[in-house]
Amino acid sequence: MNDPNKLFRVLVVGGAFLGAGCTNSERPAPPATDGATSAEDGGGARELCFCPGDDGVCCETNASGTSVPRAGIECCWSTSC
Amino acid sequence: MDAEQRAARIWRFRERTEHDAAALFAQLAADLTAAGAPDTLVELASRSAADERRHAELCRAIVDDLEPGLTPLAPDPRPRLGPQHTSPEHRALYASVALGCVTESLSAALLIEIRPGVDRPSVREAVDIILEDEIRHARLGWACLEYAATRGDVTWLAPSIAEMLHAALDTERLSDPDLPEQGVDLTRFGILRPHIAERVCRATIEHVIVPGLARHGIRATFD
Repeated sequence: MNDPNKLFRVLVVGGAFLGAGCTNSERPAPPATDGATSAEDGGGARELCFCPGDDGVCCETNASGTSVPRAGIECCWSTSC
Repeated sequence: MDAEQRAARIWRFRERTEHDAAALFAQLAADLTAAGAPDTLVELASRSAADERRHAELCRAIVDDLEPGLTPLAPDPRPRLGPQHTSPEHRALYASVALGCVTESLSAALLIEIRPGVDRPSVREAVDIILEDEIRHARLGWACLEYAATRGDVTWLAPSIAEMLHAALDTERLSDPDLPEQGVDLTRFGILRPHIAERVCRATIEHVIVPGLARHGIRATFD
């Protein structure tokens, strides 16, 4: 079973940033919550990555040539960023 | 009917739903444009329509792999979502929530669950591609909701949420209404057992969709 909290962050919070007009480098605080949302909803230390798939912002190439998320970035479940 | 033939029919059904989704995202792009939404959202909606057409091709490739010659189902000639005789803003918001926040969020959750159990190469390739896209499509829905909420009240959607959820779940169940609960296991072909799919959907509704809507005052009830 996948982690619903992670799914919430990636889809709902990630989408909210996008809808607020943010990019990876500028994002506001997320909308106020009513306590029903994830405890990790407020941003915190974890960087959310929008992973559009073609901008390369979220990924780097490791020693074996594989594309991996940058340190400190939480990406989606996709096989590539 | 053997397992491959049964799986082929489910992927054929998915092929049709992808065609329907392509038409709906294209309409969403038009409504977002008419509503004066930011270019980013319009472009994402247009791209999503193209993604869905590509998904239909991937589904067809799987059908051809599993049961060559199985003919496609006829797509809905003009799929529509929600009230049509209203403003582009309201049409766009309804479609964004129904398509992105509900259907694509559920689809992403199901694909995450499906992915580890797949061993058929054609299915694995399709699931990887579709999952990556569905995450983006779901985000588009949540992004449109966020944008709309900054411009006005969105709570008028609340009475429609249960209908959206039921429609999405019915589509999942209709993919093979005769699939026996304890019968043939099609997991390796990218098809979850019904009780697992139901559990994933319920958890996603409870922990993702309902709280996500509640952020904007949309109180959704669902049995």
